[in-house]
Amino acid sequence: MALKQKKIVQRTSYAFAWLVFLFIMGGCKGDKRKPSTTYIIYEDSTALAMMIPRELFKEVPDEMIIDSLRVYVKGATVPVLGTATIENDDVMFEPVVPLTAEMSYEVKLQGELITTLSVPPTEKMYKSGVTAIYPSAEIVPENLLKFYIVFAQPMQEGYAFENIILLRNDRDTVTGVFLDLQPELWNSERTILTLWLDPGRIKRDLQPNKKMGNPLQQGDRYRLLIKKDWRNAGGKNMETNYHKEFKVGPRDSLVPDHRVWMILPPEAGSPEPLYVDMKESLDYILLKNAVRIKDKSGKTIQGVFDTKREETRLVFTPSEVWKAGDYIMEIENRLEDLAGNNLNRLFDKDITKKDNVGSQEVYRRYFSIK
Amino acid sequence: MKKLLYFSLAPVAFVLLLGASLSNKNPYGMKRGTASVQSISAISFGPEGILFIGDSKSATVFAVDTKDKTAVEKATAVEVKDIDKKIAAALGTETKNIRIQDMAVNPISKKIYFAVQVVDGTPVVLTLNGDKFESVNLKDIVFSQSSIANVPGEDAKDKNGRSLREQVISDLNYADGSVMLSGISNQEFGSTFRKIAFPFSDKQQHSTLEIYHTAHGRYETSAPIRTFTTAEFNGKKYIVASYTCTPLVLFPMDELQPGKHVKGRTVAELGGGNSPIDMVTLQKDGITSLLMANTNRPVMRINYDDIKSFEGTLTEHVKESYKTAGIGYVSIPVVNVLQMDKLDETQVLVLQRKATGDLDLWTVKADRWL
Repeated sequence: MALKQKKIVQRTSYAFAWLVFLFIMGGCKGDKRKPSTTYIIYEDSTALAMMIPRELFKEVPDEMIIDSLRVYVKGATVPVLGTATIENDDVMFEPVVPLTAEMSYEVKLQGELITTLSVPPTEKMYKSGVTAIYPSAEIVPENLLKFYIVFAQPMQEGYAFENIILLRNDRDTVTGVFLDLQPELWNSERTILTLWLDPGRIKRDLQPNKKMGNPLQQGDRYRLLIKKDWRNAGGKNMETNYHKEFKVGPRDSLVPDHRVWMILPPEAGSPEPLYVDMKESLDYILLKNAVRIKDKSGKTIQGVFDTKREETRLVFTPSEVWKAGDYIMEIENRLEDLAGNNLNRLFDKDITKKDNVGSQEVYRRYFSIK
Repeated sequence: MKKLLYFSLAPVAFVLLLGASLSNKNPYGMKRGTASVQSISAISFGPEGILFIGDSKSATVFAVDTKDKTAVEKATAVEVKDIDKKIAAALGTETKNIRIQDMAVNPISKKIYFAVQVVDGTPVVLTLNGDKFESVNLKDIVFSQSSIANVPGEDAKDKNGRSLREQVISDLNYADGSVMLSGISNQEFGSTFRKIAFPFSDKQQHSTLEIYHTAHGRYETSAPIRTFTTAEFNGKKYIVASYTCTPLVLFPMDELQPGKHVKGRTVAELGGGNSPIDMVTLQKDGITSLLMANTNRPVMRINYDDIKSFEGTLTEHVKESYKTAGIGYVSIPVVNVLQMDKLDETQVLVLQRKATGDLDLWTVKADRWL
């Protein structure tokens, strides 16, 4: 089967010891007979299938093995979903989902135990942790809309609320602050979680806002705590807790104004970054996604965006050195500040006022490289 | 004129019929192959046993021909205690490693389908056959697919390290020849609502709608739709949607046109600190009721007559604290319902986390809740 050829075959240490033993004995050189050991077929450290030596089933006909072979999690009564096939000297069992690291399985035929298999831990179970929490500012507006939590490894989905705690003034656990969204808002790699503070409590005059007030109180100190119990996709938890401390400042009731941004262009011929000082902290993810640099002809300049100084500075490092000429910075209207106000409207848009609505899709700033 | 029209349409109809009979008896333009589903956020049934799978990771909606078309009028009541433990064992892993992401009942066969996400990222669709779980094969099947990727303009494919705008599918439903999806962006505060004609076609334009609701007082909100269903009353079809800050909003189906900004009618405010999960419409003695499961509230029952007779939109302030507004609802004394669907016209299927921590699947006679 193609699967068998494609995958890297990793035998268990037992199988390896067996081969070493055979080699030392020197008696089996050239003997292609497999050791009678069950082993695992891996792909990118994912245990895709188990290979059970055919000889363990003795005289049982192939058809009966295919029909009646059952694999169980050790001690379970429900068999594991999967298919059995005969592959040369082995019976291959391919489960519907990969085998789980550090779990033991029992292979049975008509109730009789044939063999057992323990899956060793894999590399991707380690190196977990939080690498950043945004906004990185020490003071955030009272109507802060969201946090981004960036992890080193893909994480398990659905456990955010058990593992995130907000403490006020180092004493009280604040409840009902975050919006319990199911499904949770992860990027497709499951390494960045978007965590919203309950928008209903931020929007003035909405019922939750009137009942419970703003989730964050101006003047108070908070600590966002990420518990180490949170496990990554490989099933391992983190080594330590992570936290971010911040103070709460006044409400931000202004749309971001791109006209006041200060563009600091480097010299022509230089590979240096272009800096843009925005005078206020803006949304980390949107800064990296909603801004583009183009040349006069409208061609996008390739490069990488990053942020500095608590997301008040946008840093664009071009892939090639700058050429002298005129450039355009395009900003999509969806760029938000920390309170969710975007270039076109305030987060809690007042429908009785008409003057606070912009309608442009893209805003532009022009600069030259000399 | 009419006669002429019929006459000219006849050959067209003939060609269409001929085409249909030639295309391997599949009227939905589906082909045989492997559906590369990367994640499952929501599942729902369409016509003739077609299962729609909303995949947030690959930004695709899949239509899978389950061939599960044997009609069953009345379903047998189902009860599975510790369903998560049983599913975990069937997938060869532990309960902490799986999440039941969605549940749907095939309206024809009354068979129950579960979308299960395993922590290593493997998506699985299971069905319950008696007391046994079976895996729904996604390889070598008859299916079609439609991309729902958000392309941010001409630079979608640039190498600036920015990804396409990402979204998480929050709900998916089929009605009147269209698949409707609500998606929440993990970047800007906003959501998309898409209506995609089914059968899928390469050329079709997805209608993307901007859906707002007018909330209490002065503010209009673009909060994301968490769950929705379709309903018909007074001879008009509606989308009944509930948002993350729990207003219940009505949208006339005929207003959902491509690129349109649609403003819904808020008919109820169901209280803050809560997120709706699932909606089911049931009838008894000529009264149609909407049942809604929630994250932090019991199951609610709302009479469609109240929705019908509620005029205008909710624009008045709610003066009294802890009072909900708009049409009323009856609380059904069942909490912690994680999934809910109609098993048949007289029974409701409930997936509930019990006070003991056990996750049970059980059936209730709709009579008891209506």
